[in-house]
Amino acid sequence: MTLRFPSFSQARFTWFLIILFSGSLVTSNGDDSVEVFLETHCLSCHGPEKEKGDLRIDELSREFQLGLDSHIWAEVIEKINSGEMPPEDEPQPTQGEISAFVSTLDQLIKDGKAARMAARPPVAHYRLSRKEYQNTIYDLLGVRYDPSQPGGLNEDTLWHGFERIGSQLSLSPSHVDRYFRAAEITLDRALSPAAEEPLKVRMTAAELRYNGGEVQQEALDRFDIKRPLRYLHFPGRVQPVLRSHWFKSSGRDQSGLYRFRMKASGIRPPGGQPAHVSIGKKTSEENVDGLIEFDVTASEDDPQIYEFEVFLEMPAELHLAVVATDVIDRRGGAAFRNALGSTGNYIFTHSSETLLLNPSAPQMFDDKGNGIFSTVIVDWIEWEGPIVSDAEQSRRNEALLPNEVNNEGVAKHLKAFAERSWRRPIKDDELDIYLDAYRAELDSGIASSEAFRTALQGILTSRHFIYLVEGDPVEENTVAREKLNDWELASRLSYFLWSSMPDAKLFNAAHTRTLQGKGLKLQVERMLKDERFDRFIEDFSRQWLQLHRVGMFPPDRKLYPTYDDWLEVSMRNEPVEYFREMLNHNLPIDAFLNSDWTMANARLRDFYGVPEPKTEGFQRVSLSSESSRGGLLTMGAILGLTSDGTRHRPVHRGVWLSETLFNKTPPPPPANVDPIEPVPPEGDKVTVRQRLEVHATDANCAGCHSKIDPLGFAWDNYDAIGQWRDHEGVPTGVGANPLVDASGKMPDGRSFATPAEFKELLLDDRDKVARAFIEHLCTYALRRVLTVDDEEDIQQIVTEAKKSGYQLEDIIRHVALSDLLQKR
Amino acid sequence: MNYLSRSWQIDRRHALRAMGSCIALPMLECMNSLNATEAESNPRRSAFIYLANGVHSLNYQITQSGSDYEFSRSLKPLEKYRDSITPISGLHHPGGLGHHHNCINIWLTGGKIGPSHRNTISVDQQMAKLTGQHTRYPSMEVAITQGSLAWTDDGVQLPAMRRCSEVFASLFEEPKGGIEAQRKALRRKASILDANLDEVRRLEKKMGTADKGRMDQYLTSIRQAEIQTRRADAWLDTPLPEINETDRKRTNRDIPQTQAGDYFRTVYDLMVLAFQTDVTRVATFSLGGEGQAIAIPEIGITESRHQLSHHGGDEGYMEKLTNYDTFAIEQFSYFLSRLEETKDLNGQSLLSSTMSLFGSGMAYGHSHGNANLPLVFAGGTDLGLKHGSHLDFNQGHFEGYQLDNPGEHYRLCSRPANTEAHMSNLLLLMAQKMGAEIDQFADSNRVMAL
Repeated sequence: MTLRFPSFSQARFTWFLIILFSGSLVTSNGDDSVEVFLETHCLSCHGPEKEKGDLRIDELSREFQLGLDSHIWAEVIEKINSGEMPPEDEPQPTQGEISAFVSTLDQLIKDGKAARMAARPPVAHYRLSRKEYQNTIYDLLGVRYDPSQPGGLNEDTLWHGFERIGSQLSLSPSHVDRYFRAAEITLDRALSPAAEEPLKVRMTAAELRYNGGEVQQEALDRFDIKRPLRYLHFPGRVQPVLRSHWFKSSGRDQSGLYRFRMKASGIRPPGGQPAHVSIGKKTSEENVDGLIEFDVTASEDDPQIYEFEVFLEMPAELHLAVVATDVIDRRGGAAFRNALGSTGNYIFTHSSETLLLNPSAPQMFDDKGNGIFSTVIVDWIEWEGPIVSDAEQSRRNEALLPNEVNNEGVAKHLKAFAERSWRRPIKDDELDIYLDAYRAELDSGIASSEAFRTALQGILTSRHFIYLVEGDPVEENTVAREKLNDWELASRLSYFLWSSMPDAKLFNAAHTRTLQGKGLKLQVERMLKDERFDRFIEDFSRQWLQLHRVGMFPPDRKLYPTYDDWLEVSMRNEPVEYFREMLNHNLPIDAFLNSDWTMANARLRDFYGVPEPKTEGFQRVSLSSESSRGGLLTMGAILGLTSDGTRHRPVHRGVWLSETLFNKTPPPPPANVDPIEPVPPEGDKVTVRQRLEVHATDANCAGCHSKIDPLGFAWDNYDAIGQWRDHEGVPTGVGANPLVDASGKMPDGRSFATPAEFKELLLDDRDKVARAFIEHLCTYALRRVLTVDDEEDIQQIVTEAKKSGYQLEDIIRHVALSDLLQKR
Repeated sequence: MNYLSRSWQIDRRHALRAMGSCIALPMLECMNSLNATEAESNPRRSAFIYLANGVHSLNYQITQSGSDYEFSRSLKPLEKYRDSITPISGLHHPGGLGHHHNCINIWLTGGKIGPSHRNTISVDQQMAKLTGQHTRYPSMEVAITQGSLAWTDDGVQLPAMRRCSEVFASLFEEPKGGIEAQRKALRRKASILDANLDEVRRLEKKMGTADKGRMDQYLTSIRQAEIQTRRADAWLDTPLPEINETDRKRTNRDIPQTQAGDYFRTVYDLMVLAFQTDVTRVATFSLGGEGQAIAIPEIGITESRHQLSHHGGDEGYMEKLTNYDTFAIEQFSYFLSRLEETKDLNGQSLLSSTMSLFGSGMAYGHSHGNANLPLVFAGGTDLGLKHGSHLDFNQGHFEGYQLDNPGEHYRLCSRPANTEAHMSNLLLLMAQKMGAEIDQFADSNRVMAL
């Protein structure tokens, strides 16, 4: 038997407290009667001689005010209380002994908690995540900056997918350097004089493909072809669509929002997929990372103009790729590549004229004029930018030092900027150091606008900008305040719901002290309606569902030939769009678990076998009662991210489900596990499940695996990219592929035979799922892992949420308005 | 010549303030860097190269210990360096057992991974604290995919460079706008950092002793960044090393991931160039992260290394994994040959002044076995290392290798036969050879003898 860790991991807490009390030794001062009970009933298995379930009760911290092991002690109480421990074959304590033990231990934990609350650090610092930094810079300066590009800010350390957990976001000298650099770049962008006109470049097919096209035009003239030259682009090769030298100027200061337009049409082979275009940085000979993605459905005779706005860090080089499952690659399509790939040799105007123009080239069209491959026909492309909106320009102007300003004016101007950057009122002397730096620059003969930039850079690299700072310094031995002040609350709300700094209205509410009661409600309602709330939808769903893992282990091309980049992108978007749809309609969280609809684009409909839409993009589609989809758990993204690219991984799926739906992280496997041996080629084909079951008969493993694995076995009907199957494809061994067995037993004994039945069981557990979801939301909002100390506040939110039937938007509203959110 | 006469030196005000704070050490380091441009008589160097997902151990394992060992199939490319290398078997990181792909994160730290643990400093960074006082850059970190191998004292991963042109620029590119503009920019940076430091110190006074953890980290980081800024300032007067046209052409370019061999070799060339010109003495190179180590189309491997490692007993995959191992080891052999033929500024062969460690934090990828790590230790004989033997810590703790009984061998690669044989003992040895005055590194329990 093993002790399972409860829902709240010790992660934040131990780390936090190790910092806080580093050096203090943990000594034994637990109550005597408790020690006697432990000695008699527990230590023989959980002590120096045996260490069952990796637990040594004798080594647990007795310093309850440190709270190091509170969660384990809480679990000890639960196991003793429920009679699960000591095991049946051991001497049993009397009822009286049990109740005395439990109540004494419980009191010790509670006393410890009270002491701990009082000892909360007076000032807490939570660093902004990379994404939040990007948003904050945009909202503050009206400047776009991409911190994820090479040389940008360091990647955030994730905690179970969450990017913003304070204890994880630490700082190194390299961070400091990079913040400094980022401030330099963004201020350059904000303060450089605005260009009168954005740059505009248009490249025609003749320029892109035919080196101007004079030679080819002669050919057309010979055949008296009136149609213009067009560019037939095939999957399996990339074409530059943006080159720095096309622009008059393409330095870093030209970074910003660009409008991309392309006149194009697509060829779609009968029964094949629509031609899909990805535009982005080249990642290999055949692929790009998708910055812009769209299907080209316009027909050859009726090309359309496709238009997108996209943020570019200049100088940029972008390429275009046609994504299709039938790639004309080096291995399979050398003849096509040779003919079509060399500049200018293959002349294209229209499918009906290809034979005439290219008699010796391999055929791209059959005799009925149908395409053999998905291809894209480009007429021209156009770039325009950088585009600066009026709102952006006015934010930039606020940072600019006005002309003819005296010393006092400089100080005032700096203060206004600092208050917005640091998201709080500022005392006059706080900025002296930056003003000193400004004056020093002036004295050395630097222009005042330049010198002022130094001061601004100081503001943007200060801890007050890059951290969310909560609390005030207090005298030693005095208790720090428990609640946030108005300004801190404004920031917490805005980073929760907008992933960015408060806007003027929110600042004003803090300033006028109306961020409470009705005023608070008004603000939260406004924030939920604001377009910046989109950032919450995308950031939270990505982090909660750990979508960063999609494609982390790329699927094996041989095993999964239908998997391509566009499918992966579409898969990753599905749960986000689904979450958005649930929010828009304030649906109950039941829809996380099951539904008769999902959100899909054309690529996903093809993948799921749902009829195709008339229009592009994601739309809500109904699923029939026979559909094997519905809810989050059977989406391609989720099934894929819990696989390893080759095989599905039931244990990973179980762990993911346990973490995401129940906020319970199973303990990691013990160190010395026997390896899983591969199936010998001459052996019978066996499923992953059968092999795991052999593995888990070991008593040491079974304790945990009997609880985790069934949560994963339930999805055995879905392969490593989420396709439905009845038989599991086993690459090695002899005989037929074995039948899938997706039945199992929940840890509490309820059994299921199919994924659909399993979903029903989960729906019965909706209270637990709702609670865990609320815990995840609070972790996200508070930027820390919850502890036993938060339990009452959580319960309050759960109770409120239940009253309104666990509707998604209401839950978020309850969290935003909760007492917990106002606490430090 | 007196490069360092004036303003960059720490002034009195500065020094006093630093002494008043809790971080006296960095200040001393900064003072030390007065020696920055003095050529040290015997520079010592270290390189670390990581291969993800373990190896196909059945074709990799050397079975005889001592000097009369026979090279295994995958290690064959190193045979010509028999006298300069020590293949090591039987080591493990206790903190890595059962932690799957996290093994890459603790390969050089020997740290523990888990919800309640934070990583610790990697051995290369431990070394860089010493060597960084003598070189323009303390260390270089390259990773073709995913994160670097280097971690700070606070357990923060250092960012990795990927593209060869980026590496080249970071080491050898002239400062933009000339020395004066650069100096002005560095001074400005130092003054801003200084202002931010001032602000925290004021808070510190008000705060008393509680909760300074995060602030200490902030303070140390800013302080370090400031020192680095001042060092960069000091180095401005020292001309960058001249890179001849051949070397420049060979290394200052971008290589697509589809040309793995060229990519590997060019990064190795850059490391050699960095050592040769003494811009740094410590380098780490991850051939690719655990999840995304690249394919090698030129030898017919189109699968990612991770995929191959989960071979499930597939003969074709196991063969490809072996070919991948052999290929990677061949490129490592290329690195050794380049080190051997290249002389440093003092005219010494780089091979004998450079310790190189090649290997993985995993042994048996298919089920994530993290024991009996595949490691090859090479070079550095000037530092007193004696190579030529297969150093086998399994000996005396098991019944001998059973490569014809894969189950048994995989077990050896998953559960340490010799639980005392910590990889940190090797890392400690390397740190000591670099001159670190420490007698413990991470969970070392003795210093490895070689």
